[in-house]
This record gives sequence, C-alpha cells and structure tokens, in this order.
Amino acid sequence: MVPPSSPVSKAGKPVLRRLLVRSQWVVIPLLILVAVEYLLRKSDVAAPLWYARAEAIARRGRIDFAFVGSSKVAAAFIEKAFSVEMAKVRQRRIVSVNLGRGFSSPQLHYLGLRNLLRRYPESLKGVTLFAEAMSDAPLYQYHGNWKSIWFNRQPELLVPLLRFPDLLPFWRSKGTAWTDKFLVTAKFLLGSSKIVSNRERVRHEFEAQGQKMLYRVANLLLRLPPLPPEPRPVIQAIGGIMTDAKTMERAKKSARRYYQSLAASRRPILNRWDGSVLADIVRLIKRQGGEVFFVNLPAYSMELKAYATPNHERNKAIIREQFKKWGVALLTTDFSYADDDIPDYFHLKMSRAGEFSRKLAQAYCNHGNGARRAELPRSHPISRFTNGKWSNGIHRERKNLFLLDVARDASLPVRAGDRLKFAAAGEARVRNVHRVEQGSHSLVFVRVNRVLDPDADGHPHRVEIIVGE
Amino acid sequence: MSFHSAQFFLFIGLVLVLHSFFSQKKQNRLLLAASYAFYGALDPRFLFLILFSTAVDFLVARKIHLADGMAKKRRYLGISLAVNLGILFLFKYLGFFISSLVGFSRMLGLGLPEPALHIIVPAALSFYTFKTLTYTIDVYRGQLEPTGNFFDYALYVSFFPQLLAGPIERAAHFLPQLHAPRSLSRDKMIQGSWLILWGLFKKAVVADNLALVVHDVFDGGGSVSGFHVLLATYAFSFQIYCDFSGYSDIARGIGKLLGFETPLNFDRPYLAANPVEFWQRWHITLSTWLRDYLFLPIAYAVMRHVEKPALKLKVEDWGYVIGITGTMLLAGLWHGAAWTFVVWGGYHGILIALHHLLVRRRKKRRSRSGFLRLAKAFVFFHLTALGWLIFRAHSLGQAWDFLRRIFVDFPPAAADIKMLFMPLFYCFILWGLESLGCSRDDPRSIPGWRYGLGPALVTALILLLIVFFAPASQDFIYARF
Repeated sequence: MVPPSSPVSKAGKPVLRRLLVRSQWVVIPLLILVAVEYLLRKSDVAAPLWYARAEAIARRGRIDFAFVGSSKVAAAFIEKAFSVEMAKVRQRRIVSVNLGRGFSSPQLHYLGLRNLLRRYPESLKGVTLFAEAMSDAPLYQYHGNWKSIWFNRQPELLVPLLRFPDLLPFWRSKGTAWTDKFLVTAKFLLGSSKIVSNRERVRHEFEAQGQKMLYRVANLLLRLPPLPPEPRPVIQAIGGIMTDAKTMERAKKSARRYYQSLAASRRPILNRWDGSVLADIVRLIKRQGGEVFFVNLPAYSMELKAYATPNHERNKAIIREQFKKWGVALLTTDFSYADDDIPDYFHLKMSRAGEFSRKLAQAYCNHGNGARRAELPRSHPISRFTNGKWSNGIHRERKNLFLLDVARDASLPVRAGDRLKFAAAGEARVRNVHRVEQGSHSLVFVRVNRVLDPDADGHPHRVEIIVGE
Repeated sequence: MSFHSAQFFLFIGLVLVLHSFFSQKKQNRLLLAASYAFYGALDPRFLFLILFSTAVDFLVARKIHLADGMAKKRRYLGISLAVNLGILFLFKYLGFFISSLVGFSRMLGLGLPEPALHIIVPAALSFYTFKTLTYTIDVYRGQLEPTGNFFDYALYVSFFPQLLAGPIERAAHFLPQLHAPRSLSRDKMIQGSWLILWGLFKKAVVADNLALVVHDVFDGGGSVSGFHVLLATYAFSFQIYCDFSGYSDIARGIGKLLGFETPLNFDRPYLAANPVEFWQRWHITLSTWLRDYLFLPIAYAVMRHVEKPALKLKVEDWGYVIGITGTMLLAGLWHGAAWTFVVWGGYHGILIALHHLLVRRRKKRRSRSGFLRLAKAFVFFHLTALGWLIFRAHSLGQAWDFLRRIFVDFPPAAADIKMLFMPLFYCFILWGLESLGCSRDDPRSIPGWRYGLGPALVTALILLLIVFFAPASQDFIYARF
C-alpha cells in the first residue's frame, strides 16, 4: 500500500521511483563520460600537439622562432638543434617551435598563427617565421586564398584551429564538400571534449599498451624469445609522419606518382600573390613586429627535377618580385645531402635534420639577423599593491619578493634565470616566478637574488628586463 | 551514401521528419522518392534498370494473375524469369563466363582472344532481382495476389533500407504493411534506435577495424606466414559477420523507425553446431529464399526422376543431396562472378549434404550436454572459417597457397604475437556484448537494462564508436553483390 503522503503517478508507480528510473539515463552516462574525460585529461594522451603545444609554450614565455609548413618541415627541423645554435649567437635561451604538419595547408597555418598571436601577442612579439619553400619558391598551394580552401584532405586538422566567428565564412566558402563542413562543425562543437578531440591518440595508446600487455602475458605462458629492439625511427616521427616500413614503402610509391604529375604539370604562372594566403601570413607576422623567411628544404632528386621546368622558372621570377614587395627573404643553407638522406622520398632523415637545423641557424645569422634580434631591455612597472605585508609591490618582510600586474592572457614577462635591473638595487637575477590569476588580470610573484627597497625600487619605479642575457 | 556516413544520417533524419508529418499515402510516396534518391545517388544510370525490372514484373505478375490456364501463366512466368535472370547474367556474369571460356580455351591450346568488356555491375542488382522474382513466382503459385498499385510495388522493390544488402523481403510480408497504419510508437523508437546503434557498432568498430588486418594479408601482396593467414581468416570470419549483420541491423532499425517490421537476417550464426543450423542462422532471408525457390523445386524434380536410387540411398536422400549441392553452387555464384564463390557455395553444399547423410544414419537423439554442443560449434566454426578463406581469396590459387601456408609455414615471429591484440579485443567486446543479449531487437529485454545497465551499455557503445570508429571506412561487403 502506498502511504498517503507519497505522490502516485497515473500509471500507479510512485513518482519518485519513476524519476529515479528516468534519471539514470542522465546520471549514468554523465558519470561515465565525466570519468573518462577526467582520466584522459590526467593522462599524457591528451598532451597538447601542434598549435595547442605552441600555445602552451607561449603561455609560459616567448617564442622566438616558428617553422611552418608540411610534414617535410616537421621532419627537417629539430627545435633543440636550432635553438642551441641560435643561443650561441644571441647569448640567451632561444625558444623555437616546429609547426610543420603532414596534410596541413597554409590556410590552416594562417588560422593557427592568427590564434596564437591573438592570445599571446607578447610572447610572439618579433617572432621570426620560417615558411616552407621548395626550389626557390613557396609551395603552389599558397596561391589559394585562405577563405577558399580551408584544409588539405584532412578536415580534422581544421577543428582545433577554428573559432566561432570562422564558422560562417567556412560554410560560405567554396571548394569544400558540405559533408566535410558538417563534419568539421560537429567536431568543433564537441571539440572541448578530450575524448572527441583525441580519439585517434586514445586509440593508438590503447593499442600500444594492449600489445605490450599481450606480449607480456604470452611471454609468461610460452617463454617467447626476446623481442628485437624497436628500430629507431629513421625520420622524426612528429607532425603526423609515420615511419613504419609499410608506410615508408607506400610513401615512396606516392612520391613517385606525385613527382611525375608535378613534372607533367603545366600550371599557369602564379601572379595573384597579393590575394593569397601567403600574403595574409606575411601581413599577420609583420603586424606583430615579426619577420618571415622562406626556407628551401632538402628535396629528393626526382622532386627537384620536377621543378626544373620553364614553367617553374617563370613562376620563380614572379615570386622573387613578390618577395621584394613584401620585404621577405629566401634562405638557402649550404647543407649538402644525397638522395639517401631522404629515405621515403619526402622527408629528411632524422640523423641529418639536426645538421640542417644548425645550418639554417647559421644561414639566418649570416643573413644579418643574428645580432639584430638580440632583445633590447624592456621595462615593466612594478605593481602598486600595498597592504599590511606589501608596500609598493614589494614584500615588507621578504624583501627579495616583488609583484608585477599583467593581463590575464599575456605571457609571463620574466622567467627564472632572467636578469633584471631595478631603479635603486641595480641588477638582480630571477630565482622563481609564480603566477596567480585574479579576475581579468594576473599577479606575478617574482623572487630575485637581491634585497629590494619598497620606496626606492617599488612602484612607481619600473624594472628593466634583460631577458636571459 | 553508405549507412555509416554522415550524409546518410542527415538523409534518414530528413526522411523521418517528413515521414512523421505525412499521411499514410504520402508516406509511401515519400519513401519511394527517398528510395530512388538514395539509389540514384550511387549512380543515376542504375535507376533505369531498376525501373525497367520493376515495370516488367509488375505487368507480368498482373498478367499471370489474370491468365486462365497454367500454360499461359507459365509463359508469363517464363518472361519474368528470362528478363530478370537475363539482366543478372548480362550485367553480373557475362564477363565472368567469357573470361572463364577464354581461360578454358587457353588450357586446350585454342587461345581465344579475350574481348574487352566494360560492364558496370549495378549496385544491389542481386538483391532486388531476388525480390522481383519472389513476387512473380508467388503470384504464379497463387500464394500472393498482385498489387494493383505500381508505386507500392516499386517501393517494395526499392525500399532503401533493404535495397543494397537485404534482408530479402517477401512481397507477401511487405506489401500489407504499406496499407496498415504506421506510426512511430515508443517501442519501435527504442527498438529501432537500438538496432541502428548496435549495427553501427558492429560495422564501424568491429568489421571495419578487422578489415585492416584482413586487407593487409589478402591484398597486401607481400609474403605472409601461416600465422598471418590464420589470423586474417579468423578476422575475416568476424568481419563479414559484423559487416553484414551490422547492415541488416541498421536496415531493420530504420525499418522500425519508419513503422515497418523487417525479417530477422542473422541469429548468432557462429554458435551453430552443424551446417544446417548455420544456414538457419546466417543470412536467413537468403536461406529461406533458396529453400523455397531453388532447393525444394530441384529436390522434388530429382525425386520425380530418380526411379532406382543407387548407393543404398533413398529417393529422398538423392533429392536432398542433389538439391542442396545445386542450390549452394548457385548461391555461391549469386555472391559474385568468381570461381572462389562457386567453390565456397559448393563447399557448403557438400557440408550440408554430408551432415544430412550422417544424421540420417543415426537415431535422432538430442544431446543435452552443453559442452558437446560447444565443441561441435567450435569445430563447425573452423569449417566455416575455412569456407571464408576461399570466399575472401582473390583466386583459387591464392586460397590454396594460403591454406598450404597454415600447415607448412605457420610459426609466427615473437613480434607477431602483438598483432593479435586488436582483433582479440574487438572479438572479445563483440562476444561480451552478444552474451549480454545486445543482439536482441528489444534492448529492454537485456537483464539489468532497467537497473543501470541500459544507460551504461548505450554510453559504452557510443564511446566505443567515438574512439574506435575505423579510420578507413569500408563499404559494406554485401553491397557489392
């Protein structure tokens, strides 16, 4: 018998029970999805990649150099080798990011760079961009306008680079099938979920871990012979490059086909570069006080041969004029290589990529850029924060601790190890930096190796930042 | 426009919305228009053929019905058979027969030149031909009264959920549903949505991922060991099951959402303990079609003609053996114009015939031992897998070579063990979910569904679809037939 106080539905079931039964369709899926999402966010599987990685770097500090282009760029540049070489010249820590990615397009790079610059303008102030070139000319796909062709065969790459305002022009654009537009939009709308945005990586990780586990179990049961060591990848396995033997063989076949079609191509001479996505990229970087260089990448002989056509020569002449108009340069390194160094006919092998990166750094410096880019001291006002423990932004008791106010989205103006100059205390070195978000701005706590005077060094005085000199 | 593409889901969404607003008559017209749009999206040229076939059988069936006397009826049926089988032969088998003839002539040293034929096989030809044949034969037998409405008949032939790969619906089952009131009830919505989700999981997660393993071995061109062949054969056994039954589930699910009941096509076939049971569980609508329209007529004809049975067999046994081997050879050929399919059909025919002869000699007693049944299912699964090896091979030569490798070149390298993980994972998930009862039409009959298992299962399936949706989506295997 139902107690009189318990409400009963028309069907005769207590309302509470019906509610419970129905609510399980919300509660249980939510619990499962939140748990999976949480685990994923905690794991390395969802570590940021490509432009998300660049944004993570920009959040921590400045980016000095960025490489953009296809998987050839991804394979040819080793960030560390380039940065170490540049640091020797600039006498400070250099941060470079390789944004090369297989099946990326200049349009995608435009969107990625646009987002980076919008979010972390300070971190990318004066950045130098190296863009992919082949046989003295940018790739022909640069010719397109970024509004017309949004991606190169892989719509998934577009998803993390889109912003809401992009959706309308994207749907209006021509040249993309509506099914791809639908797919991209759906994924964009679900993109904040790590399960959706990292599904391929989750799958690969699951497969790799599962295979290891199965082998261990089989080994326990069958006493298998030890596995031969995994061969070191011949090519840098980043930017979507696959280095297993089968893929390499497939790559060779497709390279042959591609170079043959390239050699046979009679594409018209490109003469509308001003409306191209390349022009957009150059403008974007220059607005930020940066500079753009095109870099000739090492190429397989068949590819170089495919470019050695009268048609291409005419294109090159036009491009040279365009470079002059834009004020950008073409860099060629004195890196010598053979066909063997490009094992899958597309990508430079890893053992030579370090040398190529160093040679590029040298070519860049020889071009007259090494010293010019050494940062001038910048200055930053010390916070005016004053209360019981703080006076003019300097801690009254721990006098080596001071505060800076920065915008929430801005990158850190100082890093551990940087040298600073105070109005009265003179030069000091940063020991550690701690950032606390405070609504629309952030408070940056900086500890230095010197005692500061709230009146002589604190607000309204400024601190000069001699970054890592 | 494949069943597991974004386009199809937009298409079906639009059809469902319009369908729910229309009256019954308009619903039928809408479904006909949608079916032709769906089929025309594959290749508009195919529409002419299906229209022609539909028109011929519609008219012939009416003529059969109105004809007085069996001779006239038989003549009209002959026209229907000639047109339908003629189309099938012309588009699907002509090239095969000519190349076989040329090959045979070369064996004899005649060396006939091979003509260059470029015939496109229209999608779904085998399926809708069987449907149209069913209609005229049933009318001829007096088992069905022909419909007077051409559009209804055209919808029966072209109904888009079943068009590409069945189930092979009988007109007697489908046509009455066009005149009954159809509305989307809660039950049908739950069952339909579940069947679609379950079918998608089988196709996009299990079948398409296993296809990668199968493709590497059968189409890779490189040298493979017996271990790889065995792995690919097992993988193909589950791939084809999940691919085809996944299609059938989606078709049945869409049918339910549109208010139709579509016959069951698969009933966990790998649990079959013998070949007869296998064909009662595998592609059920084809098996019953073959039984009603091929096997029984052949068997009865044989029984009528055999006067003195040999080899100590009864007349009925001769009828059965000849009927089943003939039927299965033709069933093999129905799957595709290649000798591998014919041999596969013949192999199954022999298995069924042998099983019949063995069972006939034993006293009928039903074993109650679960273990024995499991052992039989295990053995018969391997016999089925052997058939799949022949079915999937590009040629009989490749099938023989692969079979040989299993016995003479088996040992895998230590690293090959790793290859087992993903196929095992997909099969394990499939087995687990089927054991829970996920292959049922009504998910609410799964034990525990109302107590948390339902939402957990649905969420798990969606998560599996998100993460393991195969990177390279494959066409449905049976859509090629």
